[in-house]
Amino acid sequence: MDDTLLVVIRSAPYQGVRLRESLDALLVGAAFGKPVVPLFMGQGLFALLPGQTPGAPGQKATLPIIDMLEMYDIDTLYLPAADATARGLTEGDLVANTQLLDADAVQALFHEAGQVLTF
Amino acid sequence: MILHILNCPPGDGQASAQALAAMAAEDALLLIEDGVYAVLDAGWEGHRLDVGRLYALEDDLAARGLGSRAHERNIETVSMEAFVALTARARQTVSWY
Repeated sequence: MDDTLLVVIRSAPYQGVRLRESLDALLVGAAFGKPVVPLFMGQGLFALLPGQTPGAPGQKATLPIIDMLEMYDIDTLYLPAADATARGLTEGDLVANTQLLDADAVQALFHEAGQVLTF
Repeated sequence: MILHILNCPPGDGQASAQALAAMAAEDALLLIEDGVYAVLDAGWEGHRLDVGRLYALEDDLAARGLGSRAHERNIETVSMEAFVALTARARQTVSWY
């Protein structure tokens, strides 16, 4: 697992460019054949809501990128279960391929990663 | 040991809670920049970390008039040199902002 890149995604859609940049980091890592793991925390969970439309003019939707992560062998989108609960969200409210983690499993992701990028 | 680095105060957004959530038992937290204001927040969860797991950067404390406050809590103050040494000792550093 030492080669794994953990990308921590903490921004909601349309909240500046951070979410897009975090997804770019995932895709670049995957394109270079690196194992990449996305962890959505806090407001980053809002990126996982299905049915998002493009925002105001100039604001591109990020959901299409989330939907195509699977093609880059990014099969599982991790998130802390506590963060979902705090936002009134269950796994059924989110896009497919999400996996809710307890507190220990979240910490383990950080320890298993060779590199961590926080966005 | 992973060194988590926090640069914003508790109560300002989600970073401080997320840093604590990401920390496993052997990990340490270093407060830098506005993160050092956490010394004033008695209710902040980070103060429950064991001695030796919570650090604050001396220069940033001093710059904010908090140089004498860190000893009131379980916070170990570190110089810039000690900051570098901490990052060298850590297997990984993770920034929370």
